[in-house]
This record gives sequence, structure tokens and C-alpha cells, in this order.
Amino acid sequence: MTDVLHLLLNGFAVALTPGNLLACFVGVLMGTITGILPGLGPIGAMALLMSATYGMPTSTALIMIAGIYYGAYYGGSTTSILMNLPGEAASVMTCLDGYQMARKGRAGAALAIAAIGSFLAGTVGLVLLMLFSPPLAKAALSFGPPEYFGLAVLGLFLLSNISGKSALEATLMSLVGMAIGTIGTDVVSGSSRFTLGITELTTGIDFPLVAMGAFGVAEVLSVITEKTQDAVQLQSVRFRDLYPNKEEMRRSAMPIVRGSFLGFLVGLMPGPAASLSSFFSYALEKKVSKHPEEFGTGAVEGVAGPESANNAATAGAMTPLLALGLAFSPGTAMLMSGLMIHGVTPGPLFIKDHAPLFWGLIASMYVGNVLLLVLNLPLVGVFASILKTPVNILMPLILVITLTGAYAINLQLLDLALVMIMGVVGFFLRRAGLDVAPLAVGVVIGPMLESTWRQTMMMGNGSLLYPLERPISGAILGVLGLAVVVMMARKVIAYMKGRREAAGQVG
Amino acid sequence: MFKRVFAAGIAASLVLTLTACSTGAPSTSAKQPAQPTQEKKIDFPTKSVTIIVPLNPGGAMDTTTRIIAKNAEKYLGQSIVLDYKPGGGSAIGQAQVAKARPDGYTLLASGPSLVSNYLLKKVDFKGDSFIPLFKMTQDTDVIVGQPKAPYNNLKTMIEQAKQNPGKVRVGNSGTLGSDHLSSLAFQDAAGIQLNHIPFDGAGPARAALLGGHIELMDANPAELVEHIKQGTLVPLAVLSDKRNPLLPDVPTAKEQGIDVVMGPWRGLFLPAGTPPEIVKILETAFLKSLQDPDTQKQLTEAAIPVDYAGSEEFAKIVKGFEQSYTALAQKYNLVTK
Repeated sequence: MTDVLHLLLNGFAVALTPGNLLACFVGVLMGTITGILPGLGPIGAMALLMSATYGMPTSTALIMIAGIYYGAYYGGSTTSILMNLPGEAASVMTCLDGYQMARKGRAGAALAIAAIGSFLAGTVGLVLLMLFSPPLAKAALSFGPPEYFGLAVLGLFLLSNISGKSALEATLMSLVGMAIGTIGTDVVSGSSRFTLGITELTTGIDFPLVAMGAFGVAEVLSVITEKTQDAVQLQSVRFRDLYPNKEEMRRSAMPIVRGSFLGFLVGLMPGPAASLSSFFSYALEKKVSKHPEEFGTGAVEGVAGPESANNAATAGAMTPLLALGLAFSPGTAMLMSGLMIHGVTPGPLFIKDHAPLFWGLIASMYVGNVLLLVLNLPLVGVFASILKTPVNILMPLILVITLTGAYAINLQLLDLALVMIMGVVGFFLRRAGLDVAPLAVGVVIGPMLESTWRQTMMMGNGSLLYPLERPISGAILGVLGLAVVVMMARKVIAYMKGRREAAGQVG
Repeated sequence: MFKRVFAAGIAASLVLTLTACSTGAPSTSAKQPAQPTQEKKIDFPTKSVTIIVPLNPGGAMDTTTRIIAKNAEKYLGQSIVLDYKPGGGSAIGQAQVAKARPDGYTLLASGPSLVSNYLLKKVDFKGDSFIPLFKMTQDTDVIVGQPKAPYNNLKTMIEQAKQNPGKVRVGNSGTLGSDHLSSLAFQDAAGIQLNHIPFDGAGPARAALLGGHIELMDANPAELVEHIKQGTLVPLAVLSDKRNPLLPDVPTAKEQGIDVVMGPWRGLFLPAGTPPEIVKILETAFLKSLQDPDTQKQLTEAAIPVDYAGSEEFAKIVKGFEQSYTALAQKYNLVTK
């Protein structure tokens, strides 16, 4: 333990040099900005700055690029809370309760809780990364396709819980989402599905487009068609209202803790780590909450948990990269190329052979998290007052930001059409009283479910029992199966009871 | 009255601005009238040249192209700009260059996905839409296994595979990707039948291999060197003519009796119809860039092999890939058009 401290102190010596501090600041600033702007993700910014880092020493370059990566997840919640417009997949959950809090006038509180939660979770994630990378990374390796399939089924199971209304409707929405997720090239056979001959569609519909359309654009359309202008808090925002009150802080404490650990663990896995971690966190918070019916109307736990989870997930995602040289997401892949450009190949010996680089990076991430908190908290007031803008100016503004962000993803005009289509679809779904969140989750989980199932079947040569034969996936699926049986048994018993009582009353 | 004039003025200026800003080959006055076919001093290039990279920035293709292009600028006399156009499995960027003006100002940086795209998928271009200009580098694939498997050399693995057809699992970064096709070529040459498991990219495939969920993988040596040194991955053979300097102790497949040489190249292409004089100018600039020791140093530091070739030789290599892919496609029914 003492040599960890020792190494960490050496790391701070590296991280706190003026050059590296500046690099850290530039990185997290760029990260926050790209996080706030919906559509534009950290990948683009990382690529841009990558060329600028050619001449720099490796540690400086790495510090800056990493800063962009984890910084982006601080800013992502801003538009989710203020405009119901998720900036990236990881911020979708924050929209659900964050936006409702904003409508109740608690926008500042939501933004502040998101920032604080992100800071605490980022730090916790860092500590876990620092202390436990090698064993955690090895443990993560024992998760193969059958295990990911188990996780995807778990996600599916939890989907029905995310929506406050009927589970049937939520399932229907998630099926639609999964159908949308099938558009594109099939991983296993290489053939194109539902692409209508359009080359741009062979990589599928980018998730941010679905989220921005179904949430943001649909919201704009809804507000436009509302007869009475549901004024979003136009009274002057008092300073006290800007920040969370004692009750909100108290209720957020445990969600932040749970979110940090959950987020970190989910971040270790390949796949859409940050978004999955926020989904799971939201579902978890709803399950353990004393007032689950509040979720969806502005429960602060619904903001604290997912926001913490997606930040801890970035630390989790960096663990396999630094401990084993495995990059599981586009963001960490960028970090890996950054390293390789400077002649450093991450691998199992990275931590040992390049100790100053590793510890310098860790130390700078602590610094970066503090910088981000300092950057984001004071801006809460500024952002919250955006809501004072009259609706007839705010809505077109949101539309412009959405379309710009949509175009920025791939510089394809088709994406603009897709966002608008998703917006119209989302609008009509809302009119029908259906919740769009399970649809968004379905778009992410559907492809994961399908490809892991097929991979599992290919690995087991078609044996249906294969996933059950392996310890981890068998455990996950077994527990889930049990839970389903118990749930159904309860329903049957309640039904029988009801019939008996009715019969008793009549007879 | 004034309003109308004003509006007309705005409209006119808008139209003019739009025309002036329209992307695509600018319609500057033609500097050369119809060229007679003689070796004249061609005025090329007179402005910056664009290389379209059909992938997201930050990958190996990006790094390779960037290093070589940066160093070629001084031999070309103009700046070289990289333009990223990801999407459609590289098909979008590739199609764009196929349709671009063959005036030498638009190039394509691509790997074998170009060949597999037009052979196996429905895309907007054909094989003869391009002129292979220059091979930037050639990777050598290495077949790796993991320590938990009951074999640590190629021979034993092949025996195992023969006894258990379809049981030995080899991962790839996606169906129809170059490593999938390499694995198919390998199993053909070795006369065995493997179980190909597709993953969403090389990263997850590598993770699955490390975790023991699959037995083999066909991968890029630079990304695996550390693991091989540590012993967490076991190299079985390198699929190239000569041994790979990063892994000097690993014999080639040829040495061990399996005649297969497969390794994805990365090269530059021009749209078909580009005048041969312009092709020559570009080729010379890039050749000089690669001969420059500075370029070679930067490439080696980034773990990119220094293995380049000019237009004619590159064209032969691409043709060779076309032939082997066609044969594989027919045998394994891979065409998805």
C-alpha cells in the first residue's frame, strides 16, 4: 500500500508540471465542450488534437487526450437536463428525471448533482483503477460472448422496469428499438439488412441520432403543438435555487456510491460501457428506492445514479487498456493509437515498464476531475438561466443545435433526415402515451443481444445448453430464470386469490 | 419597391455565394487546353492534394497515411490534406474517389476492404474504377493461440483441427473482414476446417482469445508483441514471405509447409482515367518520401513496417488479392450482393 502511495506521489510530480497541467486543462475543457454539444462526441475532438500532440512528450499528449475522453461525460448531462436532448448514449437516462426536475424549477440542482456525482464517481473509479487494475482486468477477461449474452438478457429484463407505466408497453417500445437496431450490416453473415440500398445505412443508424430525434426533436414538436404554454420556470432563479437543497443531497448520496461501483464494473466490459452502466444504474436505483413511483417525474436519484455510473465507466474502460492493452470502445481505441503513435504499445507490462507514464496519467486524472468540478459547478447558474429564454426562441434554438450535432457525427445529409424521422416517430409515440426510453435502450441492447447469442451458438456448435454449462453465464441466466418464475408464480397466486375472493363474495 | 430590389439583391448574392462555395473540383479556368499525348512538362500539382481516408481518424491507416503524406509534401511541392469519410465499411469514401475527377487532386487511402467491397458487396464502384498508385505498407498477419489450448505450435494445432473438424474456434474482427478472409485462406492451404467466430472488431476478438473463449486468431503482430513476450498469447506462424522483425523467433507458415501469404496492405489509389504523367509525378513523390530515412524512422517508431511498392508492383499485388478473394468467395459462398 505504501509503495502505491509512493508511486502515486511520483505521478503527481509528473502531472503537476506546468506543461502537463495546461495539457490537462485544455483536454478537459475540450471534453466538456464536446460533451455539451449533442452529437459531437469526444472521438472527433480526440482525433483533432491527436495531430497537435505529435511534437509533445508522450505523457503530455496522453494527459490531454485522456482529459477529452473523461471530460466529455461531465458535459453530456447538460442538454439532457435542460432540453431533454441527450448528447450521447450515456446521457439518455439523465433525460428521464433530469428534464422533469428542470420543468419543476430544479434545473440548477440537477446540473449540480450531476457534476458532483460525476466528480465523486470519477474519483472512486480512479481509485479502483489505481489499486486493482491487473486482477480486475484479468477477471473481466473471463467474460466471453455467453456471459455478455447473459448481461444483455439482464438488460432486457430490466427494460420493463425503466418505464413507469405498463411493462407491456415498455416491452413493445423496446422491441421497436431492437428492430431499429437491426438496420445495417449483420456481424455474422456480412449481409446488409433494411438498408434500402443506401450505402450510408450499412453501418446502421447511429444511436445519438435515435436519441436526439426521439427525445429532443420530439420534445420540440410536442411543445409546439401544446395549446397552453407549459412555462418552464420563468421566475427569476434565486441563488439558493441554483444548488441542491439538503434533502436532494441526502437522497443522492447512496445512488452516487452505487453508481460509481456499478459503473466501474460495467465499464470493464466490451461494448457500450457508458450507456449500459447508466441503464443499469437507473434500473437499480428505481428498484431500491423507497418511492419508485417518483421515477420519471423528477426523482433526484434518477440523475445522481446514472451520471455517476457513466463517469465511473470511463475509469473502468481504461482498466483493460492500461492493464492488458485491450481497447473495447472507440474512445479507448483512440487512446491506444495515441500511445502507439508515440511508440508505446500498451500491454500486460505497461504498468511496470512505463510506470512514470502510468502514474503520471492517474495523477493527472485526479487533477482533471477536480478541474472539471471547478469548471462545471459555477456554470450551473449560467446553464440553468438558459431556460429563462422564451419558448418561441428556445425551441428553434434546440432544433438548430440538434441538427448541427446530428450532421457533425458523420457529415452525412442522410443523418439529418434520420433525426427528423425519429423526431416525428417519437412525437407520435408520445401522443399515444408511450414512453420512448425503452425504445432508445432497445436500440443499444438489441444488436448486443443478437450478436452475442449468435456468437454463443457458434462457439457451442449449436448446443442450446452451452451458455448454461459455463459458470458465469449459467449463474446469470439461472438467476434470471428463477426471478421470472417467481414473478409469474406471484401473479398466478394473486390471480387465484382474486378469483376465490370474488367467488366467496358472490356465493 | 426598395424591398423587392433588396430581396433580389440578397437572393442574387446568396446564389453567387453558393456557387462559389460549392465543393467538388473547382471550376477554375483550365490551365491546360487539350493535351497532346507527348511528354510535356505538366503543371501539376498547382494546389493542395487531398487523400480521402474512408475510416475514422486515429487508426493505423490514419497514422500510416499521415506520416507518409507529411513527408511527401516537400517532394511534391504542395500540401497534402487528409479528409476523413468513414461509413459503410469504407465503401462511402471509396465510392467518393471512384466518382471524383481523375485530375490527380483526389486520392484514396485504403486497405483490402476495397477489393472485398466490390467483389462481395453491393457498392457504387468496380475494380477498374481505380488505379493502384502506391503501396504504403504491408502488415504481416500472425496466427496466435492461447496457452490454455493443448497445442503450442502450428503442427499440433493442424493435427488437432484435422481430428476435430469445425471445433477449433478462430475469431475475426467481423465477417468478410481481411482477417476473416486470411483465416479462410489459411484453412484452405492447411486443409482443415475451423470454426469462425465473428466479433465486433479486433479488440473484442483479442479479449475473447485472452480469456480462452476461442482458440485462435489471425491478427496484427504490433498489437500483440507485449502479450507474446509475456506468454499470454502463443504465436504459431507468420503469414508472410519472410519472418517479421518484431517476432524474429516465429517461423513463417511457408517454412512449416503451409503455403499461404496473406497480410493486409495499405495503399493509395487514384480514380481511373487519371493521366499517366500525373500518376508518375505522384508516384515519384511518394517513393521519395518512403526512401527518406526520416519517414522510415517515424514509421518504425509507430510499429508500421517499411514495405512499399510503386504503381506497377502494387497493381499486381491488388490483382493477386482479387484472385484469391474471388476463389474464397466462390468456395465459401461469401457474396452478399
